[in-house]
Order: sequence, then structure tokens, then C-alpha cells
Amino acid sequence: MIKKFKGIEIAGISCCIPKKKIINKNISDYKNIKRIIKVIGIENRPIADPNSSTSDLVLKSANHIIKKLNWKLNDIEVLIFVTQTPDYLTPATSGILQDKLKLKKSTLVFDINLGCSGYTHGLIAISSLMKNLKLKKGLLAVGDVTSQLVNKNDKVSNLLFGDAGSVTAIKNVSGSNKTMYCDYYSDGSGFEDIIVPVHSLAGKNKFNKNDINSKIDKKQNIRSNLNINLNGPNIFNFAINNVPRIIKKISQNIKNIKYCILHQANQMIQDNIEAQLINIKKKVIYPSSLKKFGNTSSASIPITICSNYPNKKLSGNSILCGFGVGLSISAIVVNLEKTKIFKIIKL
Amino acid sequence: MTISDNKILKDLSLIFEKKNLKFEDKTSNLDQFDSIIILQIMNLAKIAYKKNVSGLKLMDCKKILDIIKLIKE
Repeated sequence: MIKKFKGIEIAGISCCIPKKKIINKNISDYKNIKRIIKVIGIENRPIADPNSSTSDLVLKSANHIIKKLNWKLNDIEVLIFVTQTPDYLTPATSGILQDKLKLKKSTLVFDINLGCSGYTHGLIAISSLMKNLKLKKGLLAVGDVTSQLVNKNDKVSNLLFGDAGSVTAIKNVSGSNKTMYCDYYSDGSGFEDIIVPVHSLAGKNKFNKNDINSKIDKKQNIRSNLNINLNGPNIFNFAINNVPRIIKKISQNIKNIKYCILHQANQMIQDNIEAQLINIKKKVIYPSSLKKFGNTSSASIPITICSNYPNKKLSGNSILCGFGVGLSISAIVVNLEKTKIFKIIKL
Repeated sequence: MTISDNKILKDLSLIFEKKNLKFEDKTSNLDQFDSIIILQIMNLAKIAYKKNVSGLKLMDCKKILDIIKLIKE
């Protein structure tokens, strides 16, 4: 069933990427590199310095948007940070961000562990909290340095991921007639399809020294248990069989949809979903950021918005849809006509 | 929908970038039979033939004809 939030508005979106970038075609020890680049649609990717963390990118993005929107720090009542590459396993990185941003102590602050569906799941979470707790202003931070989880000998994953952080400023405006619609879908049976198998020293998946060793899978991909392990075919089938269905459902009774901004997984998934939706919403624009940024995990939707429409207004309604780890999908229909979209900054 | 073996072979030739691809060609002899090709075949099956094909089953295909049979299943 489609859920609604009345009065929640997105005031602004900012993004920050690392200065360093990797040009995929220059990764010379790959056979068939041109063919792979053509299929995944990713030419360049911003890559974080090994000594930096997700919070560095998000902090710069947060300071930028607070300054640009002229928000007072004391007015911010909630900060949610969505990431699967936190600075520490514990504590939550949102607390570190709260301290560095000098937000007041009464701010509600916590992390959510999600990747590619993280932006839209995060929007649902923060909107719901702000409505129910009557909070007026909030920040949704998302970001990942997924490149640091990838084995450099993993033939496909090593060409996919870019690093980025983003902050979205949310307002709860009483009396506003703006409505945000949302829908979501979760299939935990696919938890192993995107997984870092080992972490920390606790629980049944605790680290032992053999986990550092890389292994070769059936398709010659080389990964250790500390790397991100992707099951490409299962993720592909999950996305193409469920995302179009959810988008059709959420958009069926909503007029004036101008944009559909999908999580940027790879070009083939983007094209496939677009092809399945083409007869449903004929004049909808599907912007992409894959070519220059790659798959930036939870930041891919804001990166797509900020890279395609800096300092512009998006007319009409926009569908935002994230999908991936979990496995999970969420979709939102929101009006971004008043949203300030800032140019991407670099760290 | 009746799907012609030759039509699928032609589509697979484009994916493998091999003009003279044959039904009896062994996948183990095609150096491009990698994770990306698997996804491209799954994509082809969904878009052109409205079929969901399992990646695991594709990986087990020994010959091009096995891939075609899987798409037609």
C-alpha cells in the first residue's frame, strides 16, 4: 500500500566527492576492458583517499548545505546517517558528525545500515520521524566509500564503485499541501547477494586470520571475506523483476511526473528498467550519473540530481527509487520544484 | 511466442562479438564468457524474449545451444 506524508519538503541537496578519480580504461591488466566499460557505462569514478572516511565527505557536504541554506544549527532537530561504510563498527558515525557540526545535544542522531536503497529508505525514515515527533528541520546524510571494500582483483566490482557523500535538508512545514508518496519492498532471503562476510571480533561471523586470504570463484573473481562480495546475476534479476513493478504501482495515480531518478547500479540495469517503463510513462526523463561517478551506493540518487541539475529547479513530480543490499527497494514520489540543488563540491 | 533458435543465435553473436558463432561452440573456448556476458544474456532474455534466466544455470551451460535452450525454457 502506498504511504503518504503531507508537509514534508526537501529544502536542498548537496554532494561531495573526493578529488581523486580513477579512469577505468587505464586499468590495463584487464582483458576486454572496453567491452566491460560499454556494458556497465562507467568511465570514471571518484575514489576516496585510503586515509579518509565516509564522514569526511559527508561533513563537508553538511557544512556546505547548512551555509548555503542559511540554516541555524540550533534549528536542526534530527540527523540520520545512512551508510554501509561507517567510520567505526561502533559507535554510530552520526554522533561524530553531530559533534563536528556542533549540533545541539537534544538532536536525535543515529545511523542506518543500508547501501543502494539507503537514500530513499532514509527519506522515508526521516520524514516519518519528523511528522510524528513534530520536528521542523532535519538532515539526511548518506554516503559510502565502497571502493575501500572492493578487492582490486575482483574483475567487475573493481570497475563499478565510486565514493561520495551527500546531505539532504528536510523541512516539516505545517500547512503545506506538498505530499510525498512512498512504497517499499524487502527480500531478506537475498542477504548473501551483496555481503561483506566477516566483521569485528563478535558473533558467528567474527574475523579470523584466514579471512584476509583471497579466493577465486567460479567466474575467476578474486575476493576475500573482508571484501564486498556481489552476486551479479541475482542482484540483476531482483532489480529488473521488482523495480519496474514498484515504480508502476507508486506512479499510477500521480499526475505530472517529469523525472525518474533511479539508483545508479550499472547501465544495463538502468536501460532494462527504463525499457520496461517506457510505455507507462512516455515523457519521463531518466537522468544518469554512471559515466563520471560510477555506482556511488546510497549517494547515487543525490549525485545524479546534483550532477545533472546544479543550480536548477526540477519541475513537476519526481520518482526516486533506490534498490540493492538487503535485498531492498524503496520508491518515493516527491515534488522538487522548490528544492535548491547545489553543485557537487570536492574534498 | 515461438522463438527461433537462429534469432537467439544472432542475438548471442552480437553479445559475444563473434560473427560465426555456432550452436555447437563450447562456452569454455569463449574467453569472453564472464560475469558481464552472463548479465548481458539475462538482459537479452528479459527484454527481447520476456524470460527470466538464472545466472547459475547460464554459468553451467557447456555449449551455445544450451544457452539457447535455457532462454526458450
